Amino acid sequence: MSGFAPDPPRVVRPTRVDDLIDSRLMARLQRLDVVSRKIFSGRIQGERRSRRRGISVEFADFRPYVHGDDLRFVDWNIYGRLDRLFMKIFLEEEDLSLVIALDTSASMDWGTPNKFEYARRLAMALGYIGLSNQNRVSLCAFGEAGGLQRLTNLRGRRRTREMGEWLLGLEPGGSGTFDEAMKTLALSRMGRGVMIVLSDYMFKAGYETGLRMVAGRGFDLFAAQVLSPEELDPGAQGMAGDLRLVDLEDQTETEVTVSQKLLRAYKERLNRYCGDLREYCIRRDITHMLVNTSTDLDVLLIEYFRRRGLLR
Amino acid sequence: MSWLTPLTGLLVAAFAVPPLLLLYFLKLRRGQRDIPSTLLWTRSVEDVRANAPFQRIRYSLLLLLQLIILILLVLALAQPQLEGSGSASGRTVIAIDRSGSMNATDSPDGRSRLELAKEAAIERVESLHGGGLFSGGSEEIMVIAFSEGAEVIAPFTDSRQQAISAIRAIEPTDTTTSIEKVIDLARVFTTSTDPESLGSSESLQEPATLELFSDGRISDLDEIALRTGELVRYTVLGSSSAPNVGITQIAAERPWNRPTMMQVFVVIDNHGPEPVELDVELRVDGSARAVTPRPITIPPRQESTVGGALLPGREQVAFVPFEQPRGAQIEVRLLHDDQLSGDNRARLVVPPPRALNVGLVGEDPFVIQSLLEGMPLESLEVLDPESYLALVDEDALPWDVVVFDGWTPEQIPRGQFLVLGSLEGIEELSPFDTTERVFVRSSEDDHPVFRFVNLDDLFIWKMSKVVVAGDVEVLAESQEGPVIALVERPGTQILWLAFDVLDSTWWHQRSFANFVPNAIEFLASSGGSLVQKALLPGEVISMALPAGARSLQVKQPDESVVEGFLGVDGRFSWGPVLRAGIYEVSWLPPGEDERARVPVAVNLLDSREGRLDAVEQLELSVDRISGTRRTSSALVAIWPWLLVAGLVMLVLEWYVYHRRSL
Repeated sequence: MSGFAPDPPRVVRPTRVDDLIDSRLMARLQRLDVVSRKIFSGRIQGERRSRRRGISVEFADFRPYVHGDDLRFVDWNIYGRLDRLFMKIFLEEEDLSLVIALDTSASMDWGTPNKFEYARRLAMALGYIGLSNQNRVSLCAFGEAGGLQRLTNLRGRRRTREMGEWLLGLEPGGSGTFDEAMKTLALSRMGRGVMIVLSDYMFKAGYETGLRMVAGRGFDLFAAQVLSPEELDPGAQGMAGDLRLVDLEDQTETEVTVSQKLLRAYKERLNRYCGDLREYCIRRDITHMLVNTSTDLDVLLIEYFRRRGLLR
Repeated sequence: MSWLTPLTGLLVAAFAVPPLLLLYFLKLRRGQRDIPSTLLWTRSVEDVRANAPFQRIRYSLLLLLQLIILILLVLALAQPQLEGSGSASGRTVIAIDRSGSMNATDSPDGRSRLELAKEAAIERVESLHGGGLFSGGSEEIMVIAFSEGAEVIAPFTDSRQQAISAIRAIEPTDTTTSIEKVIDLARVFTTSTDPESLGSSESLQEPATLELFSDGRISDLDEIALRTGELVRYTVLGSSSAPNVGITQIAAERPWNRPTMMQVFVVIDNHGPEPVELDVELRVDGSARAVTPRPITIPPRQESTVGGALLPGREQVAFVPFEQPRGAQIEVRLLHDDQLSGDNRARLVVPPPRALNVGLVGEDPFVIQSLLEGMPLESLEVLDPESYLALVDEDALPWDVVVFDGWTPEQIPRGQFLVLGSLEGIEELSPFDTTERVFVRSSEDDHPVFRFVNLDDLFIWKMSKVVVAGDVEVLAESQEGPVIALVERPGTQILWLAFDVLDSTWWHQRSFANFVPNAIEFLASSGGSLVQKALLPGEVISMALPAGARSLQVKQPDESVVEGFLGVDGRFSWGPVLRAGIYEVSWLPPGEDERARVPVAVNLLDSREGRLDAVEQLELSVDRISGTRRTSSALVAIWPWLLVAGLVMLVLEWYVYHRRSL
């Protein structure tokens, strides 16, 4: 039975953390790490290079001493040889801030497999990768109007359960605007790092403003567009007949008589919509990733995300 | 295809189809589906709508099915029937051809054309006559059976049963076909005889539709002109290519010098495109006497060089003379199966040989007397006019043929006469002058009186000039008028010569010596003295019976016996005879207990009726009427099938509707 059946199947909600991520997947994900194409300065010392030079073992450069510099970093050997003061500059190793933003609006709670459940498991897996690699992981869920639920600054694999339980506590619903949520997110002090926004990007008000808000804040931004097979190819999923389509978020109705011509027109529209989103993302240096919920999660993470440069 | 209740169907369609369409647009039941966002769908629908304004109608299978169901139901309500079509007027004349060619059995099931015509006509009556469930109207129908003449079998009636039983009662005949009397009869019955309305523009009632059921082999089509408003509908019966072989002439002759012998001649026509090989059998008194020694090949029909008409292939057969001193019933049969059996047999009744009694009346008829004396006559009585007038005081002459030489009585009685150079008593020939030095310019050389007669050497010094009036056949003609003529009156034939043979070179020529026996034989045979003439179907049996004959009966070929009556003139007339075969007239002579019997042969000897290929288009003098064919053997009411189809569509519609939820 597909999502177009008069009575769509009930979604089985996960109740335990193990339902979100199983040990087999965890084992496979341990080898992965989140990659940032940019090198960000972290708040505390982490496992990755930062553009901010500082205290570490990895030498970066010399620079002439200026007044006020910390004398501890003066290279006295050069001073002895050249009689001039040079400062030793080290690359600072710091942590990566990984922000996972999850769309919990009503439109996500649809499809077979369910988009919200899929995105929740995806968020769990990405968060686990982040925690495993000592990254600073922040989760936030947007959906309810004006509401942004957050779980910030998790670090270390021990926080996996906490993250899982937080995710389990999320309820899909609401029709909050994307722009508002992104604005809140951009203004909050999450540090800088990799941000992954999991949503279907079907916003009637448009996605442009919201993405622009977060894109300008120094995040290495990944826009993962999660769509169900019913959305990608409704004809093949049994959509037929004279239907009254009701929008899950704003309850607007559209009457359609499904025909081959209409299905063709819909696919063209969808392709154009996704294409526009991708183009917008490229222009803003955002990586757009189209995620089909029928794809296996481990295939998605290990093959697709690695190929797209989010994971390594 | 006809519609029994077209109005009902139209009304229902008018009231049912638009509401369905309306309902479809207004109350289309749509299944509700929740989707994450209508964003793309709204735009897609707009895209499609922009390109196709009628997309809903075009793509809604359900609407299509529902429309089909509705249309099927409406069609069923209109009660269509295959065959026939509705008449525009309320009066229909059904004319059924029952001529000889309609006996052809060229239908696949071996039934005759007449039977098929009757069946088609009954179906037509049923379709015209308010057979529908919802129609209360009724047609007035008249039934005419026609062949040589036309007969009203049922006058205008609104009783369907009466019309049908009248059609069923139509019997086949072997006669020729004429349509003129049908048209006349139909006009008589459809014309108002109300004196008040006569002369006014409304004196004619609404002309009826003439429904013609025929094979189109009608002789007088080109003489018919339809009047304004007259409508002829023609149903073609029979195949358009039906080969047929038939006897078209039969004759028997006793050679004059051997009167106990008999020779039979037949002419056989082939109307088919292929030559036909067949044997011909001669039967005498019901038993086979001879068969042609080898098969006769009848050539195929040919296209005439003039006019392009199809002429039948023709072959003459002469049987070897055989000894038959007594009278006999001769029958010739073609040993050949074709689709018209009536013309494969021809019959002839030959009376026993009888020498002739000839009377010769004239002042001094020595030339003709010497010729007649050389003939094998029973008796020759030579009289002068006074003796003749004294002897003959009543109608019945004691001679088979009378020769008047140079004199005729004022009143020529009933009988057979050869008149030489006299005009008295012959009203048909009016003299106005005499002429001299005359040659014969033209003559009917094929006429039996001119056998072995050559008129080229005939020179006439003096003869009468006459004006011809009435039933006169001119056999030889000069530049000055008729020289030899045959005057026909009922029961009387006068072979007339315009000159006295002594006023010509003829009397000493051999051709005159041949002419006189020819003339005597011809007149005697015409009078029924030598060979009785066979009748054609449609003719009337007419014979002189002895005075006082009683209990007259006619036995028909089908053995049925009909009573007859003697006419006031002492002649017995009965008919017209409709079927070919041997009829037997019998009576009780006065004072006797044993019936006297005279057989009469009736033959279908008409080449036109023998031609069987049905005519698809009737060519009247002005109009052309295309025939329609009966395609099925029965009138099929197809509305039940429409209902069944509607039901199937309903099931299909149900399936399509529920397929989405299955």
